[in-house]
Amino acid sequence: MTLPRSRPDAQGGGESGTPGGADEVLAAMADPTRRRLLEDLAARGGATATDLADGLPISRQAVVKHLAVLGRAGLVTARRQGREVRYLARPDGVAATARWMTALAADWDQRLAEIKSIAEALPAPSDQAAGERLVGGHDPDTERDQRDRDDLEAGDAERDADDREA
Amino acid sequence: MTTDRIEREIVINAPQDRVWAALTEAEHVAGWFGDAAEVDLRPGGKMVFGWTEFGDHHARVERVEPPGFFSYRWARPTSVEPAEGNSTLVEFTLVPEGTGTRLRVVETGFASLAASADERDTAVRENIEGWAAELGELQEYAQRYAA
Repeated sequence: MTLPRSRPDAQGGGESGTPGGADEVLAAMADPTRRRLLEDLAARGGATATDLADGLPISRQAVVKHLAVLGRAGLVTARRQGREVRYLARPDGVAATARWMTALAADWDQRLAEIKSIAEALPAPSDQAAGERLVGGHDPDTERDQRDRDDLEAGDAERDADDREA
Repeated sequence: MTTDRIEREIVINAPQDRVWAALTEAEHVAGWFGDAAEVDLRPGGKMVFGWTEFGDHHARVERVEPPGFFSYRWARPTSVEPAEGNSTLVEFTLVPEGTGTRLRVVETGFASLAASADERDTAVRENIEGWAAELGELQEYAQRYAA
């Protein structure tokens, strides 16, 4: 496994296994020329470096270098055909990385939903009415009144004790 | 097209300051990211996200601009400090919307995660070796062709 697990997500959630080389795939695809090459290869169903360079404002050598990066990421494969080397796109690497990114995004959806419920349940100290509404019928005033009554009763008991001693 | 970026958002029925508290106060962070959290809320401050199952992930606070922006960089491997090549950047933006808040999260830096040799998937290694062999053939072919 190239990357550590994406999830530290103890709440459960989607699959978060990281496909091997996802970082290389993303790095390979971060470059617009390489994305273009990959699209060209997919559209043509395979091509030589010379074919690819024809449609681009870069040299054949530069194309070969980009293809090597794509190859290391497992996105392109090279096949010798007679005197030519033909390059083919390998969509599996892209698909695995896309699935991984989708799982990471799903993890964030879940975390955002949890942040939402936490924030919406938080009482607002400066806004008593909102606080009462948000805690769902729990009335802090009732609780305080009860505490006050407890304190009073405790005080009475102490006084009773004092009276008995006196 | 795959990109090195995850961007998600949600609308929360609570004002910015409460969303800010949920995002930045350790007791609340533990409710949405890990089982236990430590937060030293200042730029450069240390954060720890603890998972009973996975171990501790360390993070560093990057920007703190209450109540609208908060970001941190967290190390993907456990028990190490976030650094170049092992971490991703998480950025939260909080924008008031009506009586609520629109919260957006952007996580970037997946492409810069460096793979260590022992973590590397065998399949990837084989792929690289296979590619090197093909490049060797290509070079041989090119030299012969040029001669």
